[in-house]
Amino acid sequence: MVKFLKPGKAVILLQGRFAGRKAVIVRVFEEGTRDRPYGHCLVAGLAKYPKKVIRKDSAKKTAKKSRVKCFLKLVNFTHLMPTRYTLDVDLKEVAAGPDALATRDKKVAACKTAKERLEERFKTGKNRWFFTKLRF
Amino acid sequence: MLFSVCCVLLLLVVVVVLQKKSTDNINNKLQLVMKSGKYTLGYKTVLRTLRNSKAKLVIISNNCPPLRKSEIEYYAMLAKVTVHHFHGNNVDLGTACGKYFRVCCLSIIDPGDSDIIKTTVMSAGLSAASPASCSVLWCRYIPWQFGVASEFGCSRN
Repeated sequence: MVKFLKPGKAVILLQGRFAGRKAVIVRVFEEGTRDRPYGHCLVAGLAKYPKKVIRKDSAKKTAKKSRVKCFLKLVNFTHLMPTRYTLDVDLKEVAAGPDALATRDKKVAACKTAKERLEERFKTGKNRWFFTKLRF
Repeated sequence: MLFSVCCVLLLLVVVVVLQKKSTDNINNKLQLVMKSGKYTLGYKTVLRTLRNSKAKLVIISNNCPPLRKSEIEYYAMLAKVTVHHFHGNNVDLGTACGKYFRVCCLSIIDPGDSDIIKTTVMSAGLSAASPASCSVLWCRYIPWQFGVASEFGCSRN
């Protein structure tokens, strides 16, 4: 009786190209929209997870290993597996307007900002579960 | 030490008695819900109602595939909804709902005139489904000052 599909919730994608990838809900469209008449949400996820960084690595190597490739996607709720984890990353400007994913340039720009946010969160060492690949 | 043992035995007796009565009770309550309340039958709709937080109670048959069962339980844990494990398979649950088909899981949205929600929440409190929540709930009923709870390592998890 508690709504749990809220912005900040970590989810795992179940279908599509990014199946098995972890993502965080950025914006929720409960009732759907005209184009998508079903409950869906905008998620920002990790297309490429950061590699494992060890103590031996030089600064250059660490920087290279901590890189993340991000994706933004509108996903149906039924294609998500919610988890008990949350990721309170400030992705508000990513989901700015209803047309954040309208044109290709906007999408690329939004992806870039999401990538920066996720990378800096990874570097702090918090939310370690989110940045580890799900083994299946 | 002896008092805590007596406490545990009393609790077990109470749980057994309650479970005995509730197997036939749940069928009657379910009948009332079918008549007067709102419900959905089936895995897809159960997940849908859990997602949009309309579900108040979820009932799962005992021959539900374990992966599906744990998935529903996980969703219910996130949504803070009680899950009742029906003492019967999907055929029995279908019959209990008054349907001529098998029902593996169902979700009650509005109990109508029935008090099924209250009674299942009560009995779920005494004999919880998952072991983790079981240990937490069990700890609540043992008096803390006897130090029994700390022996079993009860903690907020």
